[in-house]
Amino acid sequence: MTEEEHLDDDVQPMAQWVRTQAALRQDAASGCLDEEALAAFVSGAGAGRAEALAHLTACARCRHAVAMLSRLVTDERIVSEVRLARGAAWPRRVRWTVGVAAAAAIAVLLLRPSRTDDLVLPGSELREPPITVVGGPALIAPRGRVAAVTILTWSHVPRAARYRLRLYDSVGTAVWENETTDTTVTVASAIPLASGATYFWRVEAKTGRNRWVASELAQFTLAHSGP
Amino acid sequence: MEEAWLVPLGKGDCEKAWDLFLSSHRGLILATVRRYLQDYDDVMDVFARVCERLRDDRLARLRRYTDKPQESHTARFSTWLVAVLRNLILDWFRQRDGRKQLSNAARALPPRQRHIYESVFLDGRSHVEAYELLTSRGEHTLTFGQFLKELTATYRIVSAGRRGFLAVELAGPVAIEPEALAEQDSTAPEYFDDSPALLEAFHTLPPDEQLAVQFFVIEELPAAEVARLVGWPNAKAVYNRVTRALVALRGQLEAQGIHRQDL
Repeated sequence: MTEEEHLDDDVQPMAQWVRTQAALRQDAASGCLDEEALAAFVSGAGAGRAEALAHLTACARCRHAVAMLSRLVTDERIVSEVRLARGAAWPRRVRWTVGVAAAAAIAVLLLRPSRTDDLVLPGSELREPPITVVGGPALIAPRGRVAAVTILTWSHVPRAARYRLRLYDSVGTAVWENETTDTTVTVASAIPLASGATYFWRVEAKTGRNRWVASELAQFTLAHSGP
Repeated sequence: MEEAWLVPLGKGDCEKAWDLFLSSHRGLILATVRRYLQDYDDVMDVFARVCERLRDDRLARLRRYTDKPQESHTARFSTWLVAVLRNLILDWFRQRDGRKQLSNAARALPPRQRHIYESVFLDGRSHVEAYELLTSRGEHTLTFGQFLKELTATYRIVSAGRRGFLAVELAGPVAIEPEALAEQDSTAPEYFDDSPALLEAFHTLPPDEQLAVQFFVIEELPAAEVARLVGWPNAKAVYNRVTRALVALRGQLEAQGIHRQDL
């Protein structure tokens, strides 16, 4: 069922009409959203939202830009890279433009013995969330040369709601995908693993809404069986 | 904003800032480029050009964001960066290699579709502009609905290769079934083009409902995504409210003598 099929049948002709109206595909003559305004709308930021919403109802170009940007920032690989980029960033609470006195005052706030999430700097509700580096699962077995594979095992990741495993053949084609809440999974008998062949596998842990942390890619080779 | 590269940038050391920026955001840039392209050479080519543009003029593009007072930012840096990357990737295709990259598909198109391809995909014209250009060049009998049908066919040919997401970007929303169009063409062709009564009825909807209908029906965004964008609680709210909006539209039209069987 496509998304739109959730609509009642008797409103489908109206939907079709909406889709074919030239006036609903017009671009606005002015007031188009710049990159930050587009990003803000997609981020759900409150500032200027009503104006942006009004513009979007009248501008097909900006509406398409929002739709495509929304598709991009919810793409699994991009979400994963955003998370990694945040992890690689150097944790700072202030920009270099803030004076020494202000920095010192904030440092006092940061160092006081209270919950760190008490600190709400002006505008910080619109900033990146605090960095919380959660490592991906460690792949335990199988690795290297193995006689047979029946179970795949990895380490637990704190706050992981579930795990997604992908198994690839030697040319990188995914041959199996499985999701589980456990840290082991039994290889389905329907997955034919060829003896002598090399496989790669990776596990991603879901640690929040649209947040996944990935393991490294591990390799194993099934030993030749038979004489 | 917590980015190590801001420190050297603030001190004027753009080289160091760039190195740090790239080391932490290389993956994001590549993932964004790969969303559009799959061919390794294409990806690396676009990646190099995108980096060049970001690095130009002592990181001017990045400074456009970082030079603003922190409290004035309304978007996350990562979301803003993806928006910038999207524009850079599209600019690059349209201004330089776009014609070369997609010309194989274009060469096989019939004249009308080729014109649509050049206007919409390569020149970035809106659907309405491209349609008006076609009619001004002698296609006087072409309705907007028929134009959309041709656009859809063009999109399908161009996206048959491995550049589907790029084709969606360049084509704009083409969510239309040629079969449905053919059926409606014969029964109520006047409704394909602008009907003031219908448009007037549409604009009586609250702005968030108008936008939800446009995102869900025209852009074909998933309902959960529409809900997030317009600030509704969940996908079910989108199904319910979009359905109610379409019913309300139909009711207004019926009140003006345009009946259900016409739509």
